Amino acid sequence: MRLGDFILEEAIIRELKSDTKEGVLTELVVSIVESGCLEPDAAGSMVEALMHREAIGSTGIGHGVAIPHAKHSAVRRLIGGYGHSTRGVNYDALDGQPVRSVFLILWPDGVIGPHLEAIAQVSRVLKQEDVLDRLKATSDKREIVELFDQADKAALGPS
Amino acid sequence: MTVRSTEIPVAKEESLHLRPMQVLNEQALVFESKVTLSRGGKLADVKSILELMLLAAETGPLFLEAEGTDADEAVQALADLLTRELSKE
Repeated sequence: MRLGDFILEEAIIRELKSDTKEGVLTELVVSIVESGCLEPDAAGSMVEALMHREAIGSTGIGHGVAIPHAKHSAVRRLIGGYGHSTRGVNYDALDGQPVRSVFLILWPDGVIGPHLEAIAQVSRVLKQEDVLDRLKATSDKREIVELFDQADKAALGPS
Repeated sequence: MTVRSTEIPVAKEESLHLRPMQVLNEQALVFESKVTLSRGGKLADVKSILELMLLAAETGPLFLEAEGTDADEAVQALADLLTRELSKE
């Protein structure tokens, strides 16, 4: 699985406006709605589902990265978004540091585990030298898309 | 240098979710020993959450190993912790 298989290009936010967890999750869910992959009336309950997961334990894994994820009956396939924050988001991350890169992962209710392969691919990409630093440093959407593409290819080999 | 390892009792097809990995990673940092977790032919440094996440989609037996002066304590504490966390999922 590649990042490009589930991260919707329309749901890549080059500069997040909010600096709070709920605000950022709302921005990303709205971008998924705007991409046409989620009905508008499901947006509220989707943010609730994501916040419910955050209440169990923050998905801010450290290194300035968060991977919010939730399943929802309104989602038809594994989809995701990405948001960048130059100033950093107060995300209650494990290492206490502000989050600059947010990978949103959503999958259909009743389907077991497609997000785990997505999380593993996020890991393969971020473990590559310089990728995380470059990702945190850029708020250029084209550069983010190209970086994902290059890192996907490096992680899995060309298609 | 002491090396200790143990198999974590988990169903072969049960996946590792982010939450247990985060808890394991956080607790592993307390120990001096190098701690690794392996599954499905992949090996991860438990002190690196990015490496641990690589195991998310793997299945099969799960092995924890520690190498260092507090390896005994590390394996015992981390195996118990991971077993508890997996039972919550």
